[in-house]
Amino acid sequence: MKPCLDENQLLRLWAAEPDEFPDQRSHLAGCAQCTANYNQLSQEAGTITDALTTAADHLRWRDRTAIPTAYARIGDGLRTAAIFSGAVAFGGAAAFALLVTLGWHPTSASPRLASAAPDTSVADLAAGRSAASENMAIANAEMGTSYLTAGSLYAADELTTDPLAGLAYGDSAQAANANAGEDLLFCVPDDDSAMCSSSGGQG
Amino acid sequence: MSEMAIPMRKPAAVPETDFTADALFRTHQQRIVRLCRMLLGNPDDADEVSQEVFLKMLGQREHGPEPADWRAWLTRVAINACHDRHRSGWWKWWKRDGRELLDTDLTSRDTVHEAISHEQTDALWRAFRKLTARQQEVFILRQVEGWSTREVAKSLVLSEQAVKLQLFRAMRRLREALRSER
Repeated sequence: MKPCLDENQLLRLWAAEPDEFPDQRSHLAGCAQCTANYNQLSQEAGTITDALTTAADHLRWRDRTAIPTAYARIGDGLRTAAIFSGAVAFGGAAAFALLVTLGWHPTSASPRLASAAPDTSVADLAAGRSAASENMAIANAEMGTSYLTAGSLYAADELTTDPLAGLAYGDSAQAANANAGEDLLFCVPDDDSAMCSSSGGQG
Repeated sequence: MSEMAIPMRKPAAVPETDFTADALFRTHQQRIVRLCRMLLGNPDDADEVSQEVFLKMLGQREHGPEPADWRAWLTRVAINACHDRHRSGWWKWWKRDGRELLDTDLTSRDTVHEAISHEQTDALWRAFRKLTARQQEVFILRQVEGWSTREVAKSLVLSEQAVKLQLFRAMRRLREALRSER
């Protein structure tokens, strides 16, 4: 005679298919104690199922009256703080990422570019005859690939073909105007019109 | 436990013959809402999801192939819809403020609940909510819906052994909860 089945074995039998664990089932059939335990387990399973389905049928909201008011308020405050600080942090990060993507730099980084004369032509700049061209060349050398002046933003794809590349590195007017046929835009700082004009028109 | 002679709930064996949308809704609406409530633990969400399920049923009737078994089809769609609701429900943590569940309102008890106290029901419900989603699904399909192990395994894309294991674990925890309140 095999020893009686413990609770886990009975539960495993209950969850299994009828043709599984034949040895344990044969013991179950011949043992009054195990049979009684198994029947009780089955009854409990039915009770649990019925209780849960009835509970689900009657489930509804109720006011949180059982929780002390102070705890509820602290919880509400923490929840509010978490939500709004998260939203502010996310918004700030998104705004910063947007600015970086658009190529924003602090205004103090390009004071020399800002001092370029507004009526300086591309040819003058290319020949290096104006102070503005010197300033721009210096600034470009310092800033690497940044071509932004204060208050001016270029789209990144427009900077890939730089109309000022020739003058920035001291080349001739021909070099500066090599791309004159293309409809490239650049802005002159402090220009009253504050409009971007075609490089072809200025070249 | 001698007073707990309660038969396990089994699905109705009467074959369905009326497959109009109205008949399907009347036949399955309560069952689907209950299933959603058990899976979601939230009556508001359960009502919304069950409506989605029946909208999908209307779409399936109009555009898709007719399922061989509407009962199984609706159950599967409901479980999937509850999955989707779980994924998108993180903000309910905020929305739930000021209210709590677990009011099972058992004042109108029937004979079934003379064998189990209100506290035991609450403990069972809490324990059920703490089960994993997979354990809840297996328990509902096997115990509430009365599916076979093979049907559950096929529907949930599990092995039959995994279904038995999940059911074993779920029932063990629920029994512990039931006994803890005695």
